[in-house]
Amino acid sequence: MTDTSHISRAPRTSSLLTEDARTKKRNAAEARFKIYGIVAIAIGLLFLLVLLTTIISRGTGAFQQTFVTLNVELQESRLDKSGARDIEQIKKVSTFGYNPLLADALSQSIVDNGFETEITKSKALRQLLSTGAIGQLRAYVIANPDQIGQTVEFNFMASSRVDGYLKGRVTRESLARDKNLSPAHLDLVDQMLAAGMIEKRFNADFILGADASSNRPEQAGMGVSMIGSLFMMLVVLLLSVPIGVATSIYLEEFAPKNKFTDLIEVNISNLAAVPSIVFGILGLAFFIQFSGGVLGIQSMKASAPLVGGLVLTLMTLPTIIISTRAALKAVPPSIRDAALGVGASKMQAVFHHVLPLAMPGILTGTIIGLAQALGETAPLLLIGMVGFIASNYPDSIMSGLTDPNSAMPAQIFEWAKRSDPAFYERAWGGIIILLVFLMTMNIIAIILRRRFERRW
Amino acid sequence: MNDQHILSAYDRDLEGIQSHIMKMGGLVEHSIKLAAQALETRDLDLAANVRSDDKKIDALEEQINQEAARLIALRAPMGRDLRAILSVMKISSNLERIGDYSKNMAKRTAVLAEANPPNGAAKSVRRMAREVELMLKDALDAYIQNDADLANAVIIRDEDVDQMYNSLFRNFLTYMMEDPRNITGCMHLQFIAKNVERMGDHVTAIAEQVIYQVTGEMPDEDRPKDNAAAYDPSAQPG
Amino acid sequence: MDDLGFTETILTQDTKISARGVQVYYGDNHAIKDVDVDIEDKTVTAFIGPSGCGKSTFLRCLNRMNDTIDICRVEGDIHIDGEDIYDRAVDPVQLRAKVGMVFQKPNPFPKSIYDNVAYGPKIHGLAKNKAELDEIVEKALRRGAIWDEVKDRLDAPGTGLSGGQQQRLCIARAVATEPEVLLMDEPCSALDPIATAQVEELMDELRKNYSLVIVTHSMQQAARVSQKTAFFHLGNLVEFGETGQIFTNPQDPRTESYITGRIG
Repeated sequence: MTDTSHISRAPRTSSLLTEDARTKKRNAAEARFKIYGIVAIAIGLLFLLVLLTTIISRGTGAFQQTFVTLNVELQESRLDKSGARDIEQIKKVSTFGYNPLLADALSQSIVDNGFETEITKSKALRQLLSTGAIGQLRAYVIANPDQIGQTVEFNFMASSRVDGYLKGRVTRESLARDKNLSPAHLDLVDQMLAAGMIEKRFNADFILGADASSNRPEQAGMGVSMIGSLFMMLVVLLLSVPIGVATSIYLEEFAPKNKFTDLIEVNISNLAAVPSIVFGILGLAFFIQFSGGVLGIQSMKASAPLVGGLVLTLMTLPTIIISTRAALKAVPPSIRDAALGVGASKMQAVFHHVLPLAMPGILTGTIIGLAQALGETAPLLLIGMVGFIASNYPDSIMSGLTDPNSAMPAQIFEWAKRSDPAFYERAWGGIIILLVFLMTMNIIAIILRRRFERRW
Repeated sequence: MNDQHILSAYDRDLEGIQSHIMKMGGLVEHSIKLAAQALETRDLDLAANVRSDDKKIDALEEQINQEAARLIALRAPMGRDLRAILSVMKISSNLERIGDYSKNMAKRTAVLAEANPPNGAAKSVRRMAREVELMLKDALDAYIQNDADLANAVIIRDEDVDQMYNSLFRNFLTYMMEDPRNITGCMHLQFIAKNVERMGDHVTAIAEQVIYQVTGEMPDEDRPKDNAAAYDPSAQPG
Repeated sequence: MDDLGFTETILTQDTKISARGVQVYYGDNHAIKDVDVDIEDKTVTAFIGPSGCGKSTFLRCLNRMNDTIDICRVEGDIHIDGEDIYDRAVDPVQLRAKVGMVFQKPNPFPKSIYDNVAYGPKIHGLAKNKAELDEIVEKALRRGAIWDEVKDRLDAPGTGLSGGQQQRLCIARAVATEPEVLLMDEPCSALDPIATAQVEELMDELRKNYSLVIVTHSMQQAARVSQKTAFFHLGNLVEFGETGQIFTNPQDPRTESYITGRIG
């Protein structure tokens, strides 16, 4: 009580108002560290900006396409010689039979508008238009046989060179070595442009269409590969979520902790780090060669979204298991204790209390796993989910699963490796679509997380 | 067993309050001694000193009570610490009572100086007071050393004091019967002797507190009370 | 006391939980060493002792919560009303309905107040219909001394209550399954003094119907609420006796050192 030690106060050695040397050093180190951090973030943002601007500047072109407006006379003499308008007879005229109609229409428009050009050959004239134009013409005639003999206005896709010229990809210099188009064509295009016959428009076919042909880049679209990806995701979702979540719950909540479960845990963690190409070759060996080949299961064919989905499931499982286990671990043990304390069984505790609380984490993990699978290319290459898919949309869910198809990233890869620079632009455009998909999935993940998240 | 609290300030508080008890005990011892001396020598100055010193004792008791209350509030004592605090409060109150009796003895000294009691009577009272003083000293020693055996010995010695009182009582009766002029002086001396006997009882109470503090149990109350003679009419001489 | 022959019989009749030679091992760690204790019915028994002394571990043996820890091994006999709770035939789930537990941190389920209390009765099938369940919930909330505070907002989340209210909700949840024993593991350590006082008052109230066992770090709390106190030290039950006696005049020097703040 009569403590005197506090009376002998230590003499005041320094003022709080001036920093001593150590404090200065410490503050300087802290300031430096902050600067490092800001620089790192700035570099990161810069790269992101470069990436996004590159993708957008190169890819947006794919969403626009050059169209030529042309009045075509549907000559009865060429399309329906009998004049009976018999649809079977009309169908007998192949697309080649429509070529003269286009050439005539072009020549006619040159004369009508008074364009000056040295191109006289009809084949050379047709090179202004996409080779798909004749197909479009034929489809119209078959659908409307009564229009034969009339002159109808059409919007044809311009050929990829003309399209490239309007988008600045093709110049007169670059055409010097090009046998598809000559500078004379470009003179004509300039005149048609001035006359309003040619214009650039939004091209829905790029999003909805199929990959038409390796020499018709102007017609190529993502639509079918999107369906392929969708079916694969369906397979992944239906298989990996139940299997992954069940595995995690068992390992986290029920499995005894022993050497064997430790081994399983280590293996799952390692599987997450296995290169995806390994899963691809596994899929090739097991699903296609063994199941499809040796066992003779019909649906296990190369290029089938079912097989692609199975391979991606193998790849996604570790991700889902790891994130689900993390989510389960993050549920405070007090909740389990509370449930067990009122006499719930272990399973009741897990399913009534732990799982609902882990839901946001599980959903996020699942969606991130799916997004990863959506963007995966390498394993798909090995099971043949690349290449040209001529056919259009699948007729049924079963055919969607088993008919050969591609996937978005594989399609992009395919386009990027084709020689025609017009496909290169498509590849960038495809990346934009893929990114939009991934962003949508992430936004869904965030929304689900928000909705399920509860405080405890 | 570790004797130190983890919180050393707690130890300092306990030691502080115990040192107050020792100081108070020293003052009370001194007060008995001086009061008895003043009585025998009819020294009125000394008696006045005793009366003024009692104020110090009262002030100390007040201080001990406050510190004990503070300690209970702040430290929430348990076990032997709790017993130590309870004992401190009881002991200080007993000491204060002893101090009061001592003061009362000094007051009566002034009256006795005129009453002229028989020779030797005051000397016997002083002997009795001396015995009580020694008992108090031993009780305080037992307290500071946590010595239950010593405390027990003190309790037993209280019987001697009671017997001394009984014999004094008979002496005073004899004096008063011999000569009625002795009545005033003997009555005062009788009261003083009674006070000294009460002091002995308070010392016994202190010793009992020491035993409680050490063992956690109060000693049995069936100690033989031998001063029954004082209340027994048949014991009257004559 | 020893002269009164009937005292002994009454004591044995009132013994709710009787533990003999209980040993608990966590892997190689011998956490509880040969504990014998008799816990009386309609009494608050407090377990005190320094951290890691095994008091919580022993408490969790009483409703077999230790079963959830893989490496934990329990030996010895624990009988509740004469039945061995570690018998093979005993389902821990049934046991836990009979021996409720309240935890250190208030842990209401992230559900409504009503659902929190109704959960136990639901999974044990104590209510035949909604009306009966409502009745059970109200009774439990009343027993938990929280009914008046929450009766107008039974649909509000239990996690939105204050700490003290949450803990009383957890007590209500525990009593909703009609247990006979209530175990409380440091029930007030996360609460402020007012909430603590409310929970302590509740414990004293609950004592009329249940046998309560609490683990507490606060000796004052043990002194305030319990009738019997057990002091654990390094896995041993050092002393067990009347609370008043333990706190004024403990027999074992280790108990003395602990309650007076001398164990370093």
